Amino acid sequence: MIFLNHSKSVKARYWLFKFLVIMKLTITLILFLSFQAIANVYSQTKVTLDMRAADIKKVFSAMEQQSNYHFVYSERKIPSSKKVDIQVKDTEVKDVLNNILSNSGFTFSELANHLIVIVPVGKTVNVLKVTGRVVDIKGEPLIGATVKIKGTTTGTQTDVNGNFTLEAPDNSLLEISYIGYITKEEIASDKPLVITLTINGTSLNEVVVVGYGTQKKVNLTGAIATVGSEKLDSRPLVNLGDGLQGLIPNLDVNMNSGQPGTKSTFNVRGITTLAPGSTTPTITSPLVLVDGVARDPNLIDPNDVASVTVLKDASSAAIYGSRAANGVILITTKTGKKGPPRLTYSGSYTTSRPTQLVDQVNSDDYIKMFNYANRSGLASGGYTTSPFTEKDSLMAAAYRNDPANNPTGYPDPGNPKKYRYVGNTDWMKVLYPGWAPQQQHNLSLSGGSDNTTYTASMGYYRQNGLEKTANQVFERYTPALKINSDITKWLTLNLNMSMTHIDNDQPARTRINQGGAWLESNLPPVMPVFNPDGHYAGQGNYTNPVAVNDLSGRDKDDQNDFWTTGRIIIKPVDHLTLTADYTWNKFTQFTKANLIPFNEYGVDGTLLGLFPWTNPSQVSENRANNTYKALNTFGTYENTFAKKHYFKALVGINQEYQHYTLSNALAKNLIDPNLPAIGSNSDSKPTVGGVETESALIGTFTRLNYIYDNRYLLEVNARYDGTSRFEPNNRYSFSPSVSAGWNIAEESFMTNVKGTINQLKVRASYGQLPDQLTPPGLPSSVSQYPYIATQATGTVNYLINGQPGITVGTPLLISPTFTWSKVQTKNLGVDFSLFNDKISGSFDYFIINNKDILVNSSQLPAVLGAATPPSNSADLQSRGWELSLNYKNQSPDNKLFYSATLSLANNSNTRVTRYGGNPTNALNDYRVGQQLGDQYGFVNTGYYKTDAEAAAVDNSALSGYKWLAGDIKYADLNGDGKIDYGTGTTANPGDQKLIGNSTPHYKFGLNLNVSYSNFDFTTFFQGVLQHRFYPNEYVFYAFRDDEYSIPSQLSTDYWTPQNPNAFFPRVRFAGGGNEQPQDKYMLNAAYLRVKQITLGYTLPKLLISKIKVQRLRFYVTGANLFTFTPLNKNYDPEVVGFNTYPLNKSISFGVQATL
Amino acid sequence: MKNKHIIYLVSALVLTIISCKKEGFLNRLPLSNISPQTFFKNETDLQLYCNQYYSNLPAQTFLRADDNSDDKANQTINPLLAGTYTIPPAASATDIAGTGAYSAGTATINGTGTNYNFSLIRSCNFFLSNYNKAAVSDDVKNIYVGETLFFRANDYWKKVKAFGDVPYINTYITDTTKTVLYGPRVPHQQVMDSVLKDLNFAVKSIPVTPAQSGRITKYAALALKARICLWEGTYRKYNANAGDPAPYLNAAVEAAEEIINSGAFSIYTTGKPQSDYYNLFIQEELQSNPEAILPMRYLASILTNDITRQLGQNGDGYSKNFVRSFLCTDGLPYSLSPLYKGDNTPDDEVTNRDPRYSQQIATRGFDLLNGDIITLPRIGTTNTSTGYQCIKGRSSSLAAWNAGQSTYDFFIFRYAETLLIEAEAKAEFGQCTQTVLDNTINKLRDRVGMPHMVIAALVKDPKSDFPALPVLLDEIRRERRIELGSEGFRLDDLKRWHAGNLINNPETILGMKLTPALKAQYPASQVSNIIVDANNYIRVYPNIIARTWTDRLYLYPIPTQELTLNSNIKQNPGW
Repeated sequence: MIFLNHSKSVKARYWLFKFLVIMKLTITLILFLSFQAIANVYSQTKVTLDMRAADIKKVFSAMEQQSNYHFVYSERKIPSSKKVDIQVKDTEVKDVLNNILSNSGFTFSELANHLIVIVPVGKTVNVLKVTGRVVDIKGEPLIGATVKIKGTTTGTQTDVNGNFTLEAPDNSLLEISYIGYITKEEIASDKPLVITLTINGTSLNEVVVVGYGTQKKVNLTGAIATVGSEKLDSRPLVNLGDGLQGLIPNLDVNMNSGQPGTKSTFNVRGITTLAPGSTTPTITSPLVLVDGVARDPNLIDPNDVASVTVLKDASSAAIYGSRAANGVILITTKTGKKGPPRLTYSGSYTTSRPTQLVDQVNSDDYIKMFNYANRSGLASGGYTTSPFTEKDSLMAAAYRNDPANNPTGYPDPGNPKKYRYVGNTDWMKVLYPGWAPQQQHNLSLSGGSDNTTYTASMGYYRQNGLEKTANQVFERYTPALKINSDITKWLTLNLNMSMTHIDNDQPARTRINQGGAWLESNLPPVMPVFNPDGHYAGQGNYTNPVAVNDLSGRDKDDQNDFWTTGRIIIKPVDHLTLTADYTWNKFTQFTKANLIPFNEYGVDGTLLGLFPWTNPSQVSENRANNTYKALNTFGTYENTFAKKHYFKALVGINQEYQHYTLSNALAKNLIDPNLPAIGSNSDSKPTVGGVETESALIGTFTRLNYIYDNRYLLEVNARYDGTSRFEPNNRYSFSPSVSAGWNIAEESFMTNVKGTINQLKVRASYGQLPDQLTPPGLPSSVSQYPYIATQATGTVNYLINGQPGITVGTPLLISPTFTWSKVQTKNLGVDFSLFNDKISGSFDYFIINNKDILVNSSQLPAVLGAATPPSNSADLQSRGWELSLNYKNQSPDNKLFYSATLSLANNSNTRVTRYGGNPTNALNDYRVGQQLGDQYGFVNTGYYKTDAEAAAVDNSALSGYKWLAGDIKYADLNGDGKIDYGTGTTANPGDQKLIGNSTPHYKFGLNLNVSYSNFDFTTFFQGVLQHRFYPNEYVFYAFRDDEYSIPSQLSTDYWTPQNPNAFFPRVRFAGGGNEQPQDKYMLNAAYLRVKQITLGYTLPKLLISKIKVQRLRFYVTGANLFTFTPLNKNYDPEVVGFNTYPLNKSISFGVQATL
Repeated sequence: MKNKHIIYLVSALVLTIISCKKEGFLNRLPLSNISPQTFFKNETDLQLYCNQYYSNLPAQTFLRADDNSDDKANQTINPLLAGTYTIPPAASATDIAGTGAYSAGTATINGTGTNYNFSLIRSCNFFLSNYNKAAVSDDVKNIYVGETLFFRANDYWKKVKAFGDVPYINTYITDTTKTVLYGPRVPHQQVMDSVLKDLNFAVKSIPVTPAQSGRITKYAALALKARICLWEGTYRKYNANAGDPAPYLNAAVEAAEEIINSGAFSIYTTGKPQSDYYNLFIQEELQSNPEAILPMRYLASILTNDITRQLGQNGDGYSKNFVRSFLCTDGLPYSLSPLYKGDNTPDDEVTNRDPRYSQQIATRGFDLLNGDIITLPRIGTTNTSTGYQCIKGRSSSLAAWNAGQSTYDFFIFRYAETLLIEAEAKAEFGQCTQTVLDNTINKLRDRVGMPHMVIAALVKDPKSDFPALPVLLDEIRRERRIELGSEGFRLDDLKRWHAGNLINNPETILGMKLTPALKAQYPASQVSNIIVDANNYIRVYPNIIARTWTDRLYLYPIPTQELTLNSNIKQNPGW
């Protein structure tokens, strides 16, 4: 039974409900116990002990746990052989100490801050005032480094100059730590200390952000990669994606196009899925969390980013459950550090131009090819049109040779009102003439007192479009505020607020299906920009884009994305942290576009009529409004037992809600077309429309980590999710995962080589994640309530009572039984670090099974009259690997630093392992065993040499026209005497065979860094080693669609009797027969691109300290300056695909200053 | 510590937030969409649902109409008639511009508006299984049931014309495992019997004056019934083993006469025989036009069309064969009339011909656009392939020519067609008396000032396309061809008359005579590529002398996938 049925199976729901209740109870219990603990602990100076023959240090430690005292003593002086028996109940710590230290030769004294110092009898406790300075290896002060007495919470932080002062007992051990640096210990003394910390790099103590927490990198068992801000800060970026491209193996970033405002899209490990009713696989998008909240990474200022972590496998992403099936990207923004206010400014000016431009034919080649195509048509019953005359050719040649003294058009003898154009315009140069500017500025203020830190920043970015006459201006404003306050020892509050405001002003050309394309069709080189009489040229359906840009109105987009997250962190007792955060987001978008009619003129300014596609005048307004609320509550318990058993547990609840509304209005016939005011119209029935949807998600999750002796690592994750997107009986999903690792380097047998092999870890994981199948794009009723059959409303182009009839449509056929699809990942990895971290890296191999994908389950006869309802009935499997290698070194004098990072990955060997919708194995649909990207086509064996040879072969299945000499001769693979598609199935593909696969393989990125003294140099290469594609576009095939598709210079190498070995066949209009997918034209799109070259200079400290500036760096960056590829220059190998707004190559000048 | 109270408070708050969310949190129902559970309450609901059908009304736009017949020879040859039409792989495949290559999309068989798509049928069946919920009287319900059946009948008829026997689905299918999906093709006659039943219900229940202007009227239902029944009646008569034609011819007459006898309609005329016919098709307002049984209305800034701009372009053109069929002003065919001046020049050819010639084809003096006066027939892609440029519906108004801004109305059902149906159906019975002719054909002739068709005076045209046909029927068919030129009836007519082999006539792909003397008057750019035959007639397709009709072309092939999915479906003969 396919049709909607609400009545069934209340049982499953009940069970689930119960589960949720249990989860809630668990959390409640934890909270409750915590309060008990708080109540017990913080009034405690008494302890209860029952220990026999115990190591005295263990007794101290036990007392530390039960009271708020800390003990300071010298390890060397208190022998571990000293055993004590103690049995006390609710006894004052001091009494216990008196008891156990009696006759031990030791005594104690209590200092401030509940510090108890144990010293040998007779020695007085000498409290020193320790002063010192913490610096990095270059001698630069480290601000905000922590200095504390080891084993205690007593400590301080360094000031702006790296200095600190601390009172500490004589001989006590100080621990000096700073994020990203190796922690050091020093014995307290009265002499001023200078402590030099070295950078941690990939080393053992590095902490990475993981789901709902952090973890030491060395203890990770999942496939996780991290990039820090240092990789993003050194140059200007269009958006975050721009900066991440190529840095992390198997994080594919697609810039899509170079049009201002274009969003980057992300994909992890090439995970692909299928969509019902589509024969193009869907490249999935990972879940992106900014400071723990799902956000669009394109809307944040790259300058605000502190680190980016990618969770690639199911086990590391499992904690995010429902939406993490396609990987997770965790973005952490910069946080203030304690200390006086620091003001940082970074700014840059960039000038950019297209990476590639199509080289169009000039008027000579155009006329020749046009007439050739027409002759081909005439000779074979194919497409024909009015050709260029002899006079046209002569006039065009005259203009080419002497543009100053010859006209670009003359009156058409057949229609004296219109020009026949004979100019020679390079439209690419007209549209993309030079360099377009970009600039960005970011100002940030941060700092903090002992308890509270803050950071406030304001970013501004402005980009002008490459298409000059479009005058597109894109502006982004990104204010942000972050406050973190440790109210008490056990209570921390933090508040994050950030906002993105975008203004995008572009011509209304997008509204008439003319925007975004890099080259309009029907833009022949013979047409000038202006008629000889000075009016804009055009005279046709699609006139020249310069005129449309100039005259047709604007399309303005205004977006506001406002985020607030409040978080409360409670540490009721040691080892336990409870966190609750609530996020509220409001996204609004207002788009306003107007069309202005304008006249087209012919010979000597004769009015020809209105340009067709901007008439009548109109203005449209779209208002989108999205509210998103998320609540996360989780508790973490972390402790190490008996020094060897590290244990961490996390339990939490995640709840999300989204409410989307859209309203749009369109009014035609404006009273003043140049005043795009929606109220000032004479439209008798303006159009209004709207959408309103809701969606909700609940998930409960848990994670357990266990580490034995730093050697054996185990992590278990589980998550239980419910979504509003499926029918109540099918809406819940449970996803477990497990991962384990072995730190071989920690084994005793490795001790000898510990100096060489700093780290060696193997790890394996297995996990399954559900995917709730959210389609990309804005929410619609169909996408948010896919299991409910609704009746779409609309209008019909037929007047009922004088207005277009309002319609309520027929519901789609829907199967309510579909549910989550599942992504299973198996991952095997190794991490290593050699020679004091000089060389480090990791390698991962994975298998991804994408199960129960929602597709049209089976083909049904057309008499059904509706699309087949989708069901969970396809599986995909992909395998891949990724490698990252780092090398870094420095000269002994600490002046020269150099490093290299290589990432290399392969993915997307995706095969269809189950598919019910294609019983006949038709080639135009998915089929079991197929590798995605497989391209079937014909085998090109050259050209027919004579018309007779061509006529002898039956090519009628490919194209109805008569085949001639110079048309492509395909191999008759099945030997049936004719060239055809057979039945278009794998069993009978006719004369087609598998001619290649269009999936890119071996993507790499290589980052080289050198700094010497005050200079720094970075270069970054990125590319794909193997990529083939079939270019089915008119810049490739001359006149592919019809006479209006303009050929490129590349296609001038066409067959003629004099040029029998040409790359292209004879020229035809709509020469479909020659444009079949075929082996000869599978192009190689491998490439190596120099994404970035940066040279920076930081002014010496001495020089700038006089002007009270702490740091001042100038740099120049070149982006996308060089590309090496065998692909022809009509295409940018990075986007492969024609008619996309070109990517930028650019040169930037920037400055970074810190006050 | 005092702070613990704060902790309790905050934690309690958090707990409250969590606890108050129940299963209900995940139950989200559509906020801005109609769902079947709550629809079909009242008459408005019934109307709103039925409105969706109206995009399927057979409006006559003239655009590239009859390119698939002997009337026209478009620059781009019709793939079916060129023999290059290939079997669609799936019902959802579209033939890209007749190249024989298919892509996904809604399949529309080139030039017929027909496809193997059953979504309209499904929409109708959904209505039929749900309308009863509405709290309105049966009479009111039946109006909309009538509308639904009107559209279902028309859609099935189109499928029968295209495919012959077709599966007949008259229930709303929700269970995709049901055998009804896998049934065999139902015989042509049986489907048409159901179509007639639907039509009869529609005629009976739809009022003469509908609740809203623009909705289907009783007369529109009658006009459709007359059209379909004439088609089916003559199909049965001229095609072997097709069944008894009588009930359908009777029904056609019955329906046509009910319209005629109502007196509600008449032939539009203002007493200007040289322009009335032309002007009829560039009317801003057909609602009150006496010839409009059902018009398709357009209103400025509310609903406009782009047809006027495209008419007379697209390399379209009438064939020599079509042009020859115009009578001379004495009522005789060119082969017999002493008034015929020959066709050495365009001016000669139009002289003394039926005034509908110059009102359908651009001849000297025609204002193509805003003062762009025709002197020589325009030839070329943006004009015409044959020199006979189609101007039915084309006006010289710049306002109507501006893209997408035309407000000229179209006919959906034109009274003239009804008259032609009456005459032909009566003639097939042998009941076409002079009175019948005077009430039908001769009304059309009066408008254009042509002499009456008089049975006693009819002379068989020696060059007739139907040499064996009785002269009366022959001349009625000629009248139909001329009056309904470019209205998209011709291929259907050839099929029902079993006259596909008329396509073989080489004249159906020839254009006007382009003598060297005439050619010399043209700018070279227009005619340099024009190829002519031995008699100087323009050859539209240089690589063929004639098109070849084969009998398989009477039916389109069933998409391959349908045969694979349902072994009960067999392919049409010859495909």
